Amino acid sequence: MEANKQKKDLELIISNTLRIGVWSAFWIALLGVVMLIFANGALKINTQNLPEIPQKFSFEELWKGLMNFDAHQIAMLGVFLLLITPLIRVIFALIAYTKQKNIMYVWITFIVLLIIGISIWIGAVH
Amino acid sequence: MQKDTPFFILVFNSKYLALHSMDQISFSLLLIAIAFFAGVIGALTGLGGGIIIVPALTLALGIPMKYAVATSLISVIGTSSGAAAAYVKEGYTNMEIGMFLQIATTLGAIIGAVVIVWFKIPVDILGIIFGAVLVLTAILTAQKKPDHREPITNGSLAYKLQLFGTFPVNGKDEAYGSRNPILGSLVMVSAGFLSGLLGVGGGVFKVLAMDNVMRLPFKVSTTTSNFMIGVTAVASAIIYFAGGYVIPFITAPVLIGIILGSFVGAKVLAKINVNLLKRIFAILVAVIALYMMYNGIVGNFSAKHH
Repeated sequence: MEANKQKKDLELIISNTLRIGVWSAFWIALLGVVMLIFANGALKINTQNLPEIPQKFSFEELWKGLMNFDAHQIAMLGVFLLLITPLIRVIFALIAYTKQKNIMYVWITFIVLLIIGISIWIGAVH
Repeated sequence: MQKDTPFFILVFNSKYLALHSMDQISFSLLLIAIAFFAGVIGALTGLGGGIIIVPALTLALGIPMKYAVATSLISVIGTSSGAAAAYVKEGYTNMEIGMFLQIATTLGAIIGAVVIVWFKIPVDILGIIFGAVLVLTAILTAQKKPDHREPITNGSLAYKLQLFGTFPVNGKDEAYGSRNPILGSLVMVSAGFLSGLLGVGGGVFKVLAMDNVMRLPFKVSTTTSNFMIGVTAVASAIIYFAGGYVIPFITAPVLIGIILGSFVGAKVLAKINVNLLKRIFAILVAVIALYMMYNGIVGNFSAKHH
């Protein structure tokens, strides 16, 4: 019965994490897009001008943009929040399995995090 | 394109619509509308919105393939997370099976993203592969799904890995087990690979692995598959994101549209009979698939049109 309750708690925590992550990403992205339209709605854009190899993402630029209420970077923050939502979910699962002393799943969850860590490393160095 | 190209092929091509160049406000609103449509269809068919997003962004709007895949991966995270929130709470999703198979899908996803970002695969070839995967998706979706109830076998590998559980059937909890965790994982690697390469969820292969190989109940396999898509997409999305392929003025409107669309789609899904709709969408998917392959063959993905 205790194990069952723990399982239900984990389900609730993960369900709420996903919900909060998605909707906060949604509202922030919406704010960014609305600002973008008001700031330069008439600006001509041409999708053919996107560079073959773009400039890499930088936290510094994101931070600077947010401090200046830059529409692009606010929209970017929304995207970023959505990106980290599943990651937070996995971290919560790791904590829960540790509490349940389910050693096998502590390891399995750890491996998944490690693989995502490799992905972050590949993204950062390349 | 040749002069004798059929009319319907011309209609959706950016070269003729000139949708690749417009002002910011029209561009944003058009993206939101397309993504909303994709979100509704994704939710109704269970295929996810990426199937519409990638063809629409590349062919209708002239956005380069890698940017389109990056945006699709982000929107896939949105739709799967939204739906997963509901399923997990209802107790259908098996989080252990999901976590175990995520080792395979995330590995595959990284390989897919690395292949596309590091190696210069011609985008027209990617378009053709995308079309081929869609054809397979349409065929497998149209087939009737098996619904297994595998006994829990003490001492088996699946048992040791805790790949079993219970799920609600008419208000009562029913137990189920699974088989072939290793073979299932191998199929999952390819599902992850496709997700990283094409920006679609690879959902069909996930369900294939869980239904036919691991023999899980239908409800459990579909909801667990959906639960895994978010983490799988993240593993490759990070690589595109860090590489700068996520452009806010493209990705943010798509994100808004697809979250709203899948939300509305899920509400509609609860009220209507989807069998007819599913058949209609299977045809739609097949048409998009052939159209993607056609454009890949004639080289429209790599063609610039100013």
